[in-house]
Amino acid sequence: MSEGRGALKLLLKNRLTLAGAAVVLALALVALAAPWLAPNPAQALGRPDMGNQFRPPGPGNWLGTDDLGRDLLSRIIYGTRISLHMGTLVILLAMAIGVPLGAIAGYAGGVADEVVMRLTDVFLGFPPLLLALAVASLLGPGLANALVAIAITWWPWYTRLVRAQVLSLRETAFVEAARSLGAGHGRIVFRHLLPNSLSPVIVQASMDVGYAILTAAALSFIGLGAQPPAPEWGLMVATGRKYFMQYWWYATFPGLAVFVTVLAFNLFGDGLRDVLDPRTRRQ
Amino acid sequence: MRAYLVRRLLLGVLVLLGVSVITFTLARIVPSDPAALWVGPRARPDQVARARAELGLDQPLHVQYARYVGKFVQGDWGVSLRTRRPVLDDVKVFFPSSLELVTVALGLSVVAGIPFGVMSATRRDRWPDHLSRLFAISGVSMPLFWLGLLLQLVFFRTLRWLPVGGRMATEVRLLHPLEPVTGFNLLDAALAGNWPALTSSAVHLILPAATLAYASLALVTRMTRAAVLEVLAQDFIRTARAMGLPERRVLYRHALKNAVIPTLTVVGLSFGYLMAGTFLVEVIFNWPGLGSYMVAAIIAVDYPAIMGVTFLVATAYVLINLAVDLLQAVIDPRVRLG
Repeated sequence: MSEGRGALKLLLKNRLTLAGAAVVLALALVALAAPWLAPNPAQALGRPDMGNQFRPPGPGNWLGTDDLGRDLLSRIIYGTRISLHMGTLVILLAMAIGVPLGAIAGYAGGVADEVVMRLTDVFLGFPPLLLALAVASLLGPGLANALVAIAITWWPWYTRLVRAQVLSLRETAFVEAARSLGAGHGRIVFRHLLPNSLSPVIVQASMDVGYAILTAAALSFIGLGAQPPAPEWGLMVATGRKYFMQYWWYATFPGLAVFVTVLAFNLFGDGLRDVLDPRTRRQ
Repeated sequence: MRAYLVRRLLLGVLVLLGVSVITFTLARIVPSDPAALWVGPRARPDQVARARAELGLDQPLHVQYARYVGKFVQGDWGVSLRTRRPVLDDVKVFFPSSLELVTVALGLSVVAGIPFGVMSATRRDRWPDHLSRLFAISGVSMPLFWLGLLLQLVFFRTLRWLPVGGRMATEVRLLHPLEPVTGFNLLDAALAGNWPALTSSAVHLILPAATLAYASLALVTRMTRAAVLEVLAQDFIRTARAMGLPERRVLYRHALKNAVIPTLTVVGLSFGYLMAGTFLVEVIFNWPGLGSYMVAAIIAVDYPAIMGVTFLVATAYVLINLAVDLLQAVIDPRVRLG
């Protein structure tokens, strides 16, 4: 009885993880095939169609049209490209800053470790989103600035993660062996320590993509990220909000796209962590 | 205990100093010239130069920083470029309003989150537990600005049950004005016995607070669940059960008490999420708080206001986390050793 229930639990849990993975995969395909999938690529990229404004969802415009008569479905499909792009680039940039710093802190120890760790304390001392908001507002609106702003708030997590990994590996036999063979610090860090600390970093990164997408959409919603006529989801919700009480579909569908995308990444990441990290596996 | 306290306090001060350095550096790398912003677009070059000297922008950076911090601690946070009023005065008006929203949201998420978490733990791996997991992951995946809009659509436009935004109905504000004492409308109205203002404030709080509470409700639920599960597996619980205590008593008197500490941490953490979340929620619900002020400042590149709000919210965050850590050390002697 309890074993059957355990298997059912695993299946159910895996099912959610699988669903997440499937949606992520589908989104990647949609992003790649956007020009073929979108009913109206020109409108997706911004060409207005006056006289066709605020069409409710129906044949021809399955998700309706916006204030400039553009097909919302096409724009949401193209928006997948922007969101996935932002999500991955933010995480890559955060890793590019965080991973080397973590390796230095963990390997060198002493003063370097203390300085780097206190630096992460300072950055993590901000509530999430607030620092990104402040940085983005002072850098000025734009996707590239939003990207930098979010990455600046996110790197300390990678630093801490890598540092912990390197600390635990530093005194192991294979590192000792490399050292006794005369390997220099650079070689030990980059050839031995980092490759062996990367798998938890990659798991973490795959979970963080959803967060990065959500934050990018929030910045765009406030007006700090993508600028019109970009088919960015957060920006579309912000514009659609002005007409929301009459034309509910305009803000509803782009927001739903954000929610489904982030949910998929989180479900996938949550399951991935359970599978790969036995310590957090549910009892 | 004292060594721990000192270390924690020093770290808090260090973080605040770091926060001030970051905000200061940011304001100095603004692409636009603050002096030009200050005198306006039609100023002559010599006026800009004078403004630059007046604002101290011609001094070396470290002198500027020292001056900025010196003035800051004396309560001179600069003048907003947008409202042309001292930033501190603006913030004094808007901060309590945001704090009221955050407090109610946090209260909601604790009051609902702890029972949800206990239920999820005691019915582990049955449908309430799965539901709570899905609910929790949805909570952290939800764009708050979108959830707010959906709630407006349902409760304002379709059902007509609740107001679309604002802090109080206009006619109530005019006919039954509220004297700000605490800045919390609910408290002020209750203290003054102002019944119409109290009900109007409460009704206006429901949607924004519910929107804001959703994300942290998820966190509190999951954390309570994990903590209760961990405690339930321990020996003293088995002893309590073996002694024949009723399950309800075991759960609420023994297990929950020991599960409070991790939950407390998550409440502290949630405060940060909520404080940042208000920025989005306030915009949606037209709530006259720090978030609306910040977003208006962002649009106007009003850097003294942006710096002031950033510093204030970061300070509140650091202090709350500090308080939570210290409270933990008081409740749980094991923490002090760590």
